[in-house]
Amino acid sequence: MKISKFQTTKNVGREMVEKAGVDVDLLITKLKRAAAAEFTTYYYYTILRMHCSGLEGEGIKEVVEDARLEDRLHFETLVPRIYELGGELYRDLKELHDDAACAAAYLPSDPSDLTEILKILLEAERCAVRVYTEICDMTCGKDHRTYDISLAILHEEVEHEAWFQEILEGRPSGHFRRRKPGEGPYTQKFRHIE
Amino acid sequence: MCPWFKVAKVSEIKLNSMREFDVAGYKILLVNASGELYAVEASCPHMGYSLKFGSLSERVLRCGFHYAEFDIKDGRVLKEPVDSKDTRTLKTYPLRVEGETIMVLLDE
Repeated sequence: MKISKFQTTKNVGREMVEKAGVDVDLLITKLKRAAAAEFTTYYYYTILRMHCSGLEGEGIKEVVEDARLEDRLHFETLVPRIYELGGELYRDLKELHDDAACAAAYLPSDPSDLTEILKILLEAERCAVRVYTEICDMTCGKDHRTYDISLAILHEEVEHEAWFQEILEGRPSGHFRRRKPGEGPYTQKFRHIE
Repeated sequence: MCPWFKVAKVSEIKLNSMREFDVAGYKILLVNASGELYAVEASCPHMGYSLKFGSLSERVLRCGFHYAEFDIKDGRVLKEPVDSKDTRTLKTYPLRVEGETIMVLLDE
């Protein structure tokens, strides 16, 4: 059975963003790369978390888990906006991996070195902070919806950075645990999944 | 048309820091490395991310996304990005200072 073709009309949501002066195709590229980074980070954090074991590692594991689950939720949060603007996800997972906005968070050569694992986690979060700061800069006052989504994700990425920095450097810690793993308190309003 | 453009005042670029400017449709990064001023394109040639989010160590500019490193004097790649063998150089612009004003030659 063939799906009938619908007559397409212009998308006012995208048109408003274009009229505000945003290069929407470039924005879609940045959103796709951000989503790709969230997806790959979720994958690599799964491996990193597995190696947070032993007396010291078990205390870190739950923090990594919170960040890992929230990064997956960031992917879910970004995807609808990519399609709303007229973009689409990578059709090939290999392409997604290679186009990610941030470097892959590979397991260090010595997987038992918790300090090295924490450095990798911290650097990944720092890259994410840069990614969403750039998208916020690009959309502020022009694309209100993308800005709102990116700002919500930025709030969570900044907290992730703080968590790992507190563990790694012993900075005074202002953070409390999430109410539940993968809560994503700032991005919650954009999601329709648990 | 004179291709030299006024970009900023010298005092706007603090020692060992960098700042991005929009000039005639170009995004320019002005860098003050140990007291020497340089002008380079503001986007990383690897994937186009803003280099203003990167870090500076003397003349070495490191992208904050995939960690490619460039010599800001001539734009050559000192270290490839971690995820590829991209060796595209960073575009550099001739710069001169007139009094307090930094001028950049955008197109020769």
